[in-house]
Amino acid sequence: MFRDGTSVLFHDTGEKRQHRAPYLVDNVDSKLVLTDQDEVIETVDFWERADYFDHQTSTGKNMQILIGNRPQRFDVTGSWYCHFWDTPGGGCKYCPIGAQGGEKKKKGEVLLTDPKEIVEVLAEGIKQRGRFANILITTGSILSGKQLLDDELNYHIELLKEIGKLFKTDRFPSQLIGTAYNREQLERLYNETGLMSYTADIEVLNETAFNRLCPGKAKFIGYQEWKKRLKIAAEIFGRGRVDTGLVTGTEIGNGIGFRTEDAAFAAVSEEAEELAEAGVSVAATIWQPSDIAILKNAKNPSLEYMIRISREFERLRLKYNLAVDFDDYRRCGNHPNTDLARLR
Amino acid sequence: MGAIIDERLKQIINDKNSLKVIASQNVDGELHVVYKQSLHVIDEDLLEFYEIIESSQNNKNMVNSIWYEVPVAINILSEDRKSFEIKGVAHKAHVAGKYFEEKYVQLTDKGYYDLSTVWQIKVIEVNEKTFKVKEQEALEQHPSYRHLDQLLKD
Amino acid sequence: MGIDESKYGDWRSEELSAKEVIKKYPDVPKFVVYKTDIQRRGVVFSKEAMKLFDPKVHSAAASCLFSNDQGYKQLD
Repeated sequence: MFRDGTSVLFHDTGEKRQHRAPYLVDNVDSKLVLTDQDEVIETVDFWERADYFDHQTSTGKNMQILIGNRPQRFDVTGSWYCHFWDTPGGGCKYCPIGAQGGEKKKKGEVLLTDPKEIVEVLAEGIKQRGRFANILITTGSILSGKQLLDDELNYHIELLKEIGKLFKTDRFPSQLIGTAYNREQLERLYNETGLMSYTADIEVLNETAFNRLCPGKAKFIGYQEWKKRLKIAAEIFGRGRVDTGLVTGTEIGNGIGFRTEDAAFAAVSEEAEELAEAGVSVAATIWQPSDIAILKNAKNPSLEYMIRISREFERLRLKYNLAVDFDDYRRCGNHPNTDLARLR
Repeated sequence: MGAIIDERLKQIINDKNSLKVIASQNVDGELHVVYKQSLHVIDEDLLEFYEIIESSQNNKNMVNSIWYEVPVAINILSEDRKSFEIKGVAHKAHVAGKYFEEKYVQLTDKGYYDLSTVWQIKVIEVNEKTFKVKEQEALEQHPSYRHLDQLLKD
Repeated sequence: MGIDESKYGDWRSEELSAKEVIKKYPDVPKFVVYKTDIQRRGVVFSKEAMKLFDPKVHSAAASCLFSNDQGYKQLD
């Protein structure tokens, strides 16, 4: 963390990156510092562990493994496997989750965590006063059910109902990152649970690139339908309670996306504005090419592009008067553009 | 006076009966002023206060200060009417971790509804503004600034 | 021991540096710029830095769907 409260998350560390030298965190006079080319840039701190790490569930499972966390957020992962990967070539090409989930599936690890066990961990974790301000729930996509995604939805509803039993208010600070549900499913999610906000990560804000990078998502839902469902979600959950994540940079180059950053910026901005007008924010995450993803040798774009996109998304948020409380520096900490929302 | 807080000033700042006010700017340069009775001294050049409400203008302005090194101005008024102006820049925001949690527990046990941030301010300048002191300075440095009837012989 | 820059070619001359981006976009604070660049380029930790890591106090891995549980990687 930086001293202003900004969190920095990274999927893997720099020695696996191919195209650019990583930063170095070093020790100068017993202070942790961020450096680049031997120049000290800023002091930094490690995150602190949560008290629940020392506990086990009633079935003997290590609580730390069951639920992850950020400095102020629980990260509940219902399922580690994404069923878009069931079809060869169906998974998203930048995604390390599919490979990880696949490994867990091969090892025969339980893919769906018992909601009651999750709640056991949350209840223990919340005892640490002041530590947690949000619950993030996500799951690898589950496509099955009476209609597409019903099994995933039903699992989330069951889980959220269990979680809701912990709180005295009808709704509680929470964010579900689910697959893009239809209207009926969204209404059930809103009406049957205490969920406060909803996210369905479109991840690529250009239809051509989306179709190339996310063949499973394109086949089962489709780019236009995904956007439509986000807009419906904003009608149901309210403006400023719905957003979509962007894996910023996947839309450029690598033989898949736009040839220039300017072309990508213009196209992505237009799409983001369409969503913002409908009450849906876009949360930019910075694409970190993973060595276990299909696009492991890809090169992500320039820093300037990433910053231009973040500025633009903040400009749109202000233009359309959208709050992004549920996905901000504290309740998430992984989006440069929502970090900027601290100012206004 | 200088850029550090001496023992005398430290006692005044830490006294719960002193009034403490912070003036800050938002990102557009608009001024804002608010009382912060939680203000206290951490070190000879470091002050700290508790921001309860995350969405407050003061909280946003502290972000403006730490991000762009925009100064804030603090005034302390002691019970016996001594006054000090302290200029500083927001230096650290504790929003997580044991240090934050300790203050969170103290404050919520006292009845506060939550705690957003423990802000630390690095002191740049300290100036005494006590009226009697300023009056004496004015007499010495600006003898022209007197109405004549004040100077008549009895 | 620092980073062996020679492995990465002349990438620094092909794009604006973090400092240049900060100067060009003064409305974006340096913390957000560096956060973005750390994620973009990656980060490693020196042996000396890891001496400041206390497993009783600090957390090394996020352990969620969006991490790969590798925690902090140390530069040898």
